[in-house]
Amino acid sequence: MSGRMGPHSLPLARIKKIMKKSGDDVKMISGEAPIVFSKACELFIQELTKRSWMVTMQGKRRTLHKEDVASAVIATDIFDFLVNLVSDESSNDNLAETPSEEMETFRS
Amino acid sequence: MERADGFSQFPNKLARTSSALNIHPRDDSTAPAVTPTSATTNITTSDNNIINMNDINNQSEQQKAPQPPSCFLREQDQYLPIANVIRIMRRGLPPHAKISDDAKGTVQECVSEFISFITGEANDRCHHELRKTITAEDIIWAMGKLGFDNYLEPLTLFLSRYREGENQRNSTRREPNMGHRAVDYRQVGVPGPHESVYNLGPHQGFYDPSTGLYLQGWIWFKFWWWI
Repeated sequence: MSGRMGPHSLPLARIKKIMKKSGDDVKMISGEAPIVFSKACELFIQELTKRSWMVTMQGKRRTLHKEDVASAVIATDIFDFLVNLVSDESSNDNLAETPSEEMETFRS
Repeated sequence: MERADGFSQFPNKLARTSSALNIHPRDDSTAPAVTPTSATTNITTSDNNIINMNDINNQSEQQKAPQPPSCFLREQDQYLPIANVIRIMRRGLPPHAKISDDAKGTVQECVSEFISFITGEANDRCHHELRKTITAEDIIWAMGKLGFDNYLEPLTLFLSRYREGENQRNSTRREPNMGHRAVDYRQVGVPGPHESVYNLGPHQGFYDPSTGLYLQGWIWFKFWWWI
């Protein structure tokens, strides 16, 4: 199935697995659904990355950090479903900041 | 970047055992790694047994992290490959931009969450309309419902081009109508006759040769198979 339309950026079988994990009652998935998702995920990654990069630039930095992603998520309504995901991660990470991150911030 | 190289000796055995504890870290150095012994590869029973075996193996194995909960089994299946994610991230960034490892991991997790979120909504719609199969139109509809309006047009265009290509491939092969291929004429949001089969050949119906497109994207070929 994955080779039908030439190479996709994202593996269709993996997308399908993630779809199935989203709920116990997800049973049958048409062949085209993962293909649409491969394109949708590209769009999503690009949008999230660009919004995160805008936060990075506002901080006059050149390295995109997880905190920039969290800020972009919080600032974007349609990314509300990600708020718990990024806030859980940032609260866990506050306990263990690496020296390299601090240096990076200091340098910029 | 560290990897759990203890896995290298069990690649095939772990892959074949469906319920074997098979934790692989994401491509960063922060994820925990668990290395089962060869004895665990033959266990095909419940998660409880696997957890018990790992407790036994704790003493002798190079276990680097506490026992993860069973929901993290086959962690590599929960996410898209990080290399692919990074490649797409870099497309939208200037050449001098750098991405920290934790940002890569976060975006990787966000994508999986996105897929689950959309799939859940699409699945609800299928249930509501008493259908069993999540289709591409369900996915696109769910995106619109959940606020991803700016994705609708590129996805619809992408899908119609994909179907075009499939149709050209099939008409070249001159395949007879198969039982499981159905032409479904319906608009998004309106329940349609999914179970009925319109045995139209590839050059009949609403195919418009001048544009190579089906009518405004309202006509869908549906391919149903177990994957």
